[in-house]
Amino acid sequence: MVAEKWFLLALLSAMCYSLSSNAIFYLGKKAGGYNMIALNLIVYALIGFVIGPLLLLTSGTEKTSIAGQFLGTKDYADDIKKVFTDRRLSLQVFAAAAATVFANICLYTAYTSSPNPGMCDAISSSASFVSLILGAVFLGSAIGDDAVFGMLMMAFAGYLLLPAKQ
Amino acid sequence: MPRWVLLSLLSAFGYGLAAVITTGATGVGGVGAIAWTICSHMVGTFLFGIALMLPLPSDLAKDGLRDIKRSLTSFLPLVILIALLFWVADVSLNASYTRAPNPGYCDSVSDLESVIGAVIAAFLFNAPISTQQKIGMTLAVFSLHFLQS
Repeated sequence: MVAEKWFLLALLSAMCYSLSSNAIFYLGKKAGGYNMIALNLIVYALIGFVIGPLLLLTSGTEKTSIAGQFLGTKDYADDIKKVFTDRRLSLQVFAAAAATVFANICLYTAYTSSPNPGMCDAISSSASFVSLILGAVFLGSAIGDDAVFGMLMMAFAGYLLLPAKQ
Repeated sequence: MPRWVLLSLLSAFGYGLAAVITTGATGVGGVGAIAWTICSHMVGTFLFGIALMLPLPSDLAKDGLRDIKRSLTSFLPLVILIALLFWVADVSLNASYTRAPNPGYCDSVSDLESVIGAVIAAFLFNAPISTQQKIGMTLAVFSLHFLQS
């Protein structure tokens, strides 16, 4: 069976997130502890204000960035402008960023008082069910029985992956 | 309900909500995933800056300014690597949302990061993997078959 493009992209994100979590683990170990909000701030700033403008250099009407071509984004520069000039998109980007930052802070705060940080991750990964339901309600996205069964399997697998002892 | 459970549930709601907003904004006639990722990180930078000034639990509030400085000096190469990995991960996930039947499927496939992360940690840091965890990993890989259908 040939995997669909969305599946490969989601798999790529899983690979990169797992590499980044190991890099963060290494950073914390090497530095003897790290403030996660400070790290997130710098990581977000590097992505938004360094990688972002660098991509602008390769975007235009005649040539587009390699990553942009790969992901089908032809109008990167115009899209950036649109996000900050279109009122609806501006509100959406603010809401999405606020929801992510809020989620991060809740999760980090939960780590500080939970008996096992893995439990917080396991509960937080139920975000997929939140987006499943909200996607169906607000965007009319389909919900397939097989896929929901797969999601439940993945959630249970996440629980099994928790360390046995704290 | 313990406070940490409530906070973890709130984080799930926040991540899920962000995924749906992203799907709506990057769907048909919307903006590209790369531009969206960059813009949301620009806004997120300011929000994390505000968060750093909030009266959060001591573990989260202490040494914030020290670690900003350390990120830009002593650990800059590693922090750049983390940023690049996050960028690719975020762009891929955001791009997958609009191509999938439902954004929840993408989040679930992306949850495989815990399996991949555990395998990488075993190789890099000799982290032990128990039998229960091996069963969990096998189950997670099997679940991909159903998620694709």
